[in-house]
Amino acid sequence: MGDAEGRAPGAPQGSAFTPEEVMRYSRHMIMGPVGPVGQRKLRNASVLVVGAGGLGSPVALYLALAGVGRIGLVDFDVVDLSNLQRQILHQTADVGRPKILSAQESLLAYNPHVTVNTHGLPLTSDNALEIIPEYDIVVNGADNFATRYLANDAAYLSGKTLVDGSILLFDGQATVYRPGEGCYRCLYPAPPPPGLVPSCAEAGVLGAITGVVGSIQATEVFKQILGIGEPLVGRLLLIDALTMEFRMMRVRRDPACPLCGDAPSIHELIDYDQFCGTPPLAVAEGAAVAAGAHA
Amino acid sequence: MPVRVYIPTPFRRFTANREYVSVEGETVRAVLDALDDAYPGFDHLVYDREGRVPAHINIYVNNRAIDELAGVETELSDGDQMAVIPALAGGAR
Repeated sequence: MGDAEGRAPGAPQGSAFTPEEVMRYSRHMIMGPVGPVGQRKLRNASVLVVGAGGLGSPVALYLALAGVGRIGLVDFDVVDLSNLQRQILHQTADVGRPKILSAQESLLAYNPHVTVNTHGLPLTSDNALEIIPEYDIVVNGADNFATRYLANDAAYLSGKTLVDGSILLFDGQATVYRPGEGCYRCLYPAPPPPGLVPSCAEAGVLGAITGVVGSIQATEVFKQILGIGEPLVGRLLLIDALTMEFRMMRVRRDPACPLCGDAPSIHELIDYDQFCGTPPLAVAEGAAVAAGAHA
Repeated sequence: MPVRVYIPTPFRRFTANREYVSVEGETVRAVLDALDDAYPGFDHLVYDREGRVPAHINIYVNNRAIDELAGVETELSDGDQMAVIPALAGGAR
């Protein structure tokens, strides 16, 4: 499957925090709602980040900095020069390299105490129900509707919370789907016809908005792990960077939802390219080779 | 009765880059029609070929989706705020 596990050489393991870890995480640990118990929850947690790009970069970075014990990355793409305006895990020297490798290196350089698992192929109907159950929480940073519906369905069928985020131009959206409390299909029952909603590659995106939305997603992950605060469940946060206005819309579980409704018709993963009317994702040659090397 | 409609940045090219548009209308449908009158072509965003609001677009009145209310026939009151919000897919690339 192109999976690999990364951990910095000599990185300490075990249950007790080392003095270095206590110092590293001290600004979290001194907060009452976190404390040593919460820090241990973070270390024992595992989070899968779908996409190591604009959103996945800040999400994974903050998870690693905070000491989330195991971070999974799913991405099949290679770093392109046009990514570097916003994808903060990759640098100029990484152009042409698989994103999961440059992301893994960056995360371990920031914090050698975490484990970074890489899944160097597209998330598909064939592998999603193998990968997602390995993690506690799923973060969606996908750049296409087919993968968004796939991640939604697979997270729901696996009983996992999905922390969702999306961006375009100067706008961002974020919400959290907990099984049984609404899902992406409740909010958007069907994708737009192909070509109607442009991608970031077609329309552009403000680099900094990826940091805003990704940071919100990471924050929601922390809240889920720590069991604190009011999660962004049942609410859709809309961010407009130009007006700098934040809106909160209600999201409800749709009783007619084919996935999580009262009489669901979707019990297994489907063909999402067909559902979205889009061609299958093409795996970049460099990424495929690298994934194989790390299988 | 003027209603203030929030236009997100992906749709702003249809409204001369205006983030808020005030139009007259007693219902959501009337407001959408008025938007199309003011900005011809706007109806192509919010209606599909069958004249329904497509599933990838949510229209909100005072932060509640009209699917929870009476759809496009939802009646509006003075001071109500509408928003027309599309699904976004950007994230990775």
